[in-house]
Amino acid sequence: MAVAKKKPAAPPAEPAKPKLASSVPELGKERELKAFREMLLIRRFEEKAGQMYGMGLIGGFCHLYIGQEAVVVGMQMAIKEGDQVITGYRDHGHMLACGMDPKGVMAELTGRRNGYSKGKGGSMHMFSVARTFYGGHGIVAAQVSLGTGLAFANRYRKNDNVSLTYFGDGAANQGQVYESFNMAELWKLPVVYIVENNRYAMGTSVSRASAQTDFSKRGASFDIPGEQVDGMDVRAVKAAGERAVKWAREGNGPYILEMMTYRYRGHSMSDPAKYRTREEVEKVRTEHDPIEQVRARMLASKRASEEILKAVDAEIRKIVNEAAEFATHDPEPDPAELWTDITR
Amino acid sequence: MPIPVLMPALSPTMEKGNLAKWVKHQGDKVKSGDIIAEIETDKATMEVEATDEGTLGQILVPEGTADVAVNTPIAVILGEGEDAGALNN
Repeated sequence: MAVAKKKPAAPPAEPAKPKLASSVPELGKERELKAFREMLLIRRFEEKAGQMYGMGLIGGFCHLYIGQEAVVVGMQMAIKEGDQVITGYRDHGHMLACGMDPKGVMAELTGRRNGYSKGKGGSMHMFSVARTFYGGHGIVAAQVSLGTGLAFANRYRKNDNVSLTYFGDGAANQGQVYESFNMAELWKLPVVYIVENNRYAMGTSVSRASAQTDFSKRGASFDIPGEQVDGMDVRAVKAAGERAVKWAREGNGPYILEMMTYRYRGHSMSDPAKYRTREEVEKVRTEHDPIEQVRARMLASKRASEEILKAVDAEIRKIVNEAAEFATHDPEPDPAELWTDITR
Repeated sequence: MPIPVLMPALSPTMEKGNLAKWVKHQGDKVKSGDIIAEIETDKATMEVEATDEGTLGQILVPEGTADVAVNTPIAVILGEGEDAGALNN
């Protein structure tokens, strides 16, 4: 099979480099403001979740998406109604981007009865078939074979939906990823594999854990095309997403997108992140922040005024505060619920 | 309205911690994501980030204080247009 390989966008061990504005298609005023709003919702929601964890309102595990917002927001702009999304446990951003209700997500984080899993699932375990979000999975890389299965179902049912299957740079070294790649290419399944390379698998840097650090090449032996994308630039993500989704939808089989991204917080809430320097985090935050890039671009081009952006921020803070309020006062599940929704 | 900063629980089992260091000082501007303090738990030293934008109006727990209970107010952030007078309200 002839495979169009794209030139890597950035060296793998480095943070994504900003591209020249001319090399990335612009989103246009409305889309750009929409991207800003959706990324900001994820950012503020996650900050609030971190704060509520600190107050003891959220228990167990909690993995925040802060820093990676452009990946899921850009990809959502590249798909159509009916396409499916599945990911691992850094999943709150994916849920919000899929249009799930912030109140229901936050109430699940606090373990309350109006949460998406009735308060019984928590951070890692939420689904919304209505929003075609298939979880939320706690086992590293398990979602890769499930996402491939979604694509198999699409082929079997002869619909034209595409499965977006997200996983991290750590999960990319798991065996079932390659079994999935093999089947996906063999049967030309409509799946886009999105590797969110945030440079650290928990506390282990990519270069210490991976023999091949260019994840876009991980499908090479199966003839699966792949490309590296500046995952901090929502425009670049959308453009690459459209190429990949088109490829998969037209029956050419799977496609790999390696998103060069970065998380600002620790792996989970109790990770002090001593494996990297404060300067490294600060450099990405000041030079590559996905939200600030959009804000600066809109102000410079006068596509939006400071007042409009402030109003969006106020609106988002209100939504997030209402979600937090709801999740704090919603009752806990009835003890009788312990014996429901389980397989006996 | 001034916003209290609470002593955070940085793991599910943490009940108290030491206020190791103030990275920001009284009167400093802060925005979401800025590291304002360092907290020592029984396991590690963790950074506390601001979640609101404004000025660090008052530090309520000085650095070096040991065994600060989770959810104790440790500082107050003043919003846009607020001055120290708002602290008395």
